[in-house]
Amino acid sequence: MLLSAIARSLVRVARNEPTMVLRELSVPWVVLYNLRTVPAARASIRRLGKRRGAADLVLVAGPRIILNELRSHRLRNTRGRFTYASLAAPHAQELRTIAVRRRTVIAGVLALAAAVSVVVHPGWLLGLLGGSMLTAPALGVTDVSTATLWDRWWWGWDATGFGAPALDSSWTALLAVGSIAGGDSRLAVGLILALGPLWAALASWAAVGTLARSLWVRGPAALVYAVWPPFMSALADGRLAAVVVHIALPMVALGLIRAGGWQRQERLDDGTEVPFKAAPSPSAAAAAAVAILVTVAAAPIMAAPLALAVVVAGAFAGRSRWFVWSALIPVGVVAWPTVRAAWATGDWFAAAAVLAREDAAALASVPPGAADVLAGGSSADVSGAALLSLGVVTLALVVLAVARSWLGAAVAAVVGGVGAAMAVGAPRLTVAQPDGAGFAGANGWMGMGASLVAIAAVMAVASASAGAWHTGRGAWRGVRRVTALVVLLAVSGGVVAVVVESALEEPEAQLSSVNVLPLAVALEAEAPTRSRVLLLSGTQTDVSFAVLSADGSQRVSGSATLLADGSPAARPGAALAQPSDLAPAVAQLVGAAEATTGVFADWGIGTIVVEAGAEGIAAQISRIPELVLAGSSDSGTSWRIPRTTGDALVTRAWLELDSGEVIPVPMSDARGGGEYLTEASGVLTVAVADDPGWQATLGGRPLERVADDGGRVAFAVAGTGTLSFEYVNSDYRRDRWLVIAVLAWSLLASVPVHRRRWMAVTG
Amino acid sequence: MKRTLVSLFAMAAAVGLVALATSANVPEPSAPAQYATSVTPATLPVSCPGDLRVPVGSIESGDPDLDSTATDVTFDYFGGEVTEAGDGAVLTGDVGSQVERVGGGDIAGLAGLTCSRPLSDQWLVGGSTAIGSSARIVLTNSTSAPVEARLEFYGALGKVELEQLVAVAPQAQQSLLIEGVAPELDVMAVRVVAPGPGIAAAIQASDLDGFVPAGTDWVSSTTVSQAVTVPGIGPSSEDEPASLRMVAPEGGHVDITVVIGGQSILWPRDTGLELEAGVVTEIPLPPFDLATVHLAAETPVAAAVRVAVPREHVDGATAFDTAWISAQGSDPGVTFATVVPDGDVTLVVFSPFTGEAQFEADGELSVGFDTPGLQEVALDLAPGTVISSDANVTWMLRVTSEPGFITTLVPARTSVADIPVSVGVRNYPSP
Repeated sequence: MLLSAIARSLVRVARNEPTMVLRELSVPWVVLYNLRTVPAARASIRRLGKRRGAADLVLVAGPRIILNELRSHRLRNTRGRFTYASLAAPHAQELRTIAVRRRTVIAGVLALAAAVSVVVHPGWLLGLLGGSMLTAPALGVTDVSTATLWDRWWWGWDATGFGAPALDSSWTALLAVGSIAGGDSRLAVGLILALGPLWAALASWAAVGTLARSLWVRGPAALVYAVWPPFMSALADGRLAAVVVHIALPMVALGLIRAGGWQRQERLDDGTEVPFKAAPSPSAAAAAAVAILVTVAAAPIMAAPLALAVVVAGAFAGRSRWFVWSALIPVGVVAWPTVRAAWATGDWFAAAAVLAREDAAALASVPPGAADVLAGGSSADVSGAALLSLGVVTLALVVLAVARSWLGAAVAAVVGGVGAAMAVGAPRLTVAQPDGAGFAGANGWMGMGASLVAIAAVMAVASASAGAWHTGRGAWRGVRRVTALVVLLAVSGGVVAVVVESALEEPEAQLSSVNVLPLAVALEAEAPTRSRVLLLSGTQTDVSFAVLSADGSQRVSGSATLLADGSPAARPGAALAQPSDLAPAVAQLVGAAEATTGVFADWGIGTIVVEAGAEGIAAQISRIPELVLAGSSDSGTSWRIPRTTGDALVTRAWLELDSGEVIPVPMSDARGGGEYLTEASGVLTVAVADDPGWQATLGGRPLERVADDGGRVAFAVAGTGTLSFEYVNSDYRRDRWLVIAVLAWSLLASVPVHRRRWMAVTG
Repeated sequence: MKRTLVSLFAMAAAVGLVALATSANVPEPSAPAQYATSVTPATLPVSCPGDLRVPVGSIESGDPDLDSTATDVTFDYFGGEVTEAGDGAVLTGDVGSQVERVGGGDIAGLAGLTCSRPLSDQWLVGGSTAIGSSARIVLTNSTSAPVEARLEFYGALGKVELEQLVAVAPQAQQSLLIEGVAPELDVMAVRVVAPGPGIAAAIQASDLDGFVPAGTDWVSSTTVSQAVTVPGIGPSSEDEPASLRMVAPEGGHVDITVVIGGQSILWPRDTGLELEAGVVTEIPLPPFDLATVHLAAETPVAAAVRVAVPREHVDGATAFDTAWISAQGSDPGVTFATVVPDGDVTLVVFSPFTGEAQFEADGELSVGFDTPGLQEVALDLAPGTVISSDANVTWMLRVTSEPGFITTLVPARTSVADIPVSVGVRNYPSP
């Protein structure tokens, strides 16, 4: 009881209801005070009936009832929940019938959406449950451990390739939270992608339900949103950020509409709407803020349209405007690093590219035209997509034409227009530069804008459809009804067509075993004295290579945003060393089979793995006497790279003493160190791309940086004590704490605690 | 009215935004950088296949004329120190050769070749696995790493479905009787693909006419190019014409020119031949004592010429010795060389231009051409002398011995050619 009171008080603080804090905190003490009457009451009950379960005992209130009574009436701090008891019996019965029908339809819609998920990507779900993971060219491997994600989020250092400073942390934080259940992100990412239509249907069902209670509108609208063609393409391509945006957008709409108290109530046959009046909800505003935070974290480009939507919604929200506008805070906090980095570029085009950046799963695509966006797909998509979208657009136009809700129509037009502009404009920007570690550059994806178009369309339809079936008279009513049925049929056909097309399309995302490197190599890459892996594939004359810091290339946790000049957006100006710089050495290694292994060891690359099937390369590597064959498996053949001097293991950080002795230093992705008791001097080299954020101390004393010809991080070391080094970016840390605070605040405020006014029934 | 205006304004704004976005320029997304360079592979030692084998084994019948066993055998490597590699050898020099003379038995004749460096992809045109013939391919690995070679066989009907994988240990040798895996190939070519450092390959092609030797020689790898030349072939007669064997991996048209004396003739007809992809085609050549064959094809073609020199055998029968001469490309400025063996050696040079062709052979040797064509120079050089040239000519050494034995040494490139390497960084795994 005490804990409950404290928790509820925190929620009141988060929702800016300070007067309620004392009332919440007083509840336990009032209960305790009233306990003095309990013995007398019990004695009275005993006198009334000796048998347990006597009819009178039913009248005895339990602790829960007592608490509710205290909160709602004595402390006048609770909005009464809507109950059937407050209604006349026929109305209550009708509502119960509607509820049964609604549950039946939602079960059907969700079953259909789940069936679509399975039909379009058969095998994904079973594969995921069987322990496989999804990989895609844009996504990399998806089994990133929670610890790795935590490190990436906490320290802000992206370890891909030779590493780079990350711009922001929100996306990684979300993924880290999602990865807790399975210990890594495999299942979370896999289930989002494999069951994407199901989640989208669920979200849009809830959102559409705020404006349309007709199951004939809710069901099809939810299904259309769930199979929106760009969304299906995003699922097939493994564009995780776009998928998350599509699923989160209905939650934003739901939150904002409920925050403003604009939701429609259940309409009974006699025209009565129950509950009698919709009340604005501050917790819904906070929930909208959380959904916005998720959306903007996935795609910073969504900050602008969502901020606009929040501003407009707040302007029409009357007394709840501040609740609604509070959702601007997460937009600002999450988008701030992006805006700051965009400003720092000093160039409009570069700034736009940073604002539209896609750090997680960017993939090149054909830029669509305006007509393509309205047709729901890029120019590469085929007729079914167009059919579906044209059906929806037609429906939207028809309904808009007869709309009684001019405001809803106008808002939908603006949101849809902004979405269409984004869908057309973003693909005309380069939103991801090649990272030098194998991920290609990419133009923007139309999907985020297209999702806005979709949510605007279905919400506009929902808004204007209310009561449309019953309006009009005579022939005009008949025409409207026939038109609605025709459009419904067209939409159904479109849904089927999109599903069939998506099922026939070969997806970019594929199931793969979680072990992509030979097991021993993968385990070594996770050890404290870890080294990198050089993976070779192809032929002697056409070689592909990857420099891996883990078991596979990782992009799912987001990449460090790079600018066109190769410098990170977090610290523009100086291009970083990248694995692609090793291409000449790889050419010599494979083409000439000459010992150029020193340059690899210099970057902490301790193992060469030749992919199975690349016999030519394996034969070349096997000729190099310096390399030591470590093993061969289905995943490839591996060799160890020795240091050019000494017997020490190749690691990502090492201390080279003046005597020439090399001491490996343990490190994780962004920090490391060890205890060194022998007085010695030398150089600590951390084989990551040079960045001023790296700091080192020995026995608590800061170490001085020394220049490194290879573009790595190096410190002069002299003395004894605990050697410690880490990556520190003060801007990043401040941003990270702000996001944590805002997220915690929003989550707390989104808990639906009842309001103090009795508004629902009494009006 | 106000509501309509607001709605119209909202829609107009939406259309305007879309139009503005559509008018933006579309940059090409950058692909991961691709690094293109050429590298000089590490120089690998040359290796020789070693001595000949009697296909049917050594059979003694009691009549020396009918015995299969090789008699009166002399065998030598030329060029550098010799290290054994299986039944063959690895030589220390940049170039080497081997010549074997078998005086009697089934494989009587001269057989020689210029020893070669490992190649990762090579074509050997010559030999037969029809009845009376035997083709033994010898794979020598002169490197320090094991090599797995894939053998593809081609015949008159195209590529034989069955391929053969042969693993060869470092500094070792493997041989295979091709008739055991691809029998009844009257005309035959073999492609040897060995990833990595590659492998040295040669075919011992032996023919037997009943009990009468019909010739044995080594078939070495041939240049695969759109323009190839086989210089100094002969003799060719009506009864025993020299034959030209060709295979174009991709198929296509080929024009064949036979240069006899100063005269060039298009053979076998003016319009040339259409080669089907992978089909081995063999045509007889016209009669001549000495000639050069030049092929100009629309796709790369591999070719070789077989000449047969008759001699008297016992009981009035005619025996033959054969020479397989691989085609050469044209690489001006690149030095080709071989090592002069023991015996009667003639330098045969074909030049498409007039002027002098310079050779290095213990001093300078100059061969002059008043007109484009063929020149023969009898060499009087010590066995083991390296002869080389970077002139824009094609040449070879013809080695002869009584009583009608012949073989040829086609020069090999002394330096290792740079290979183009394209390197790209990629993510892994990428489906």
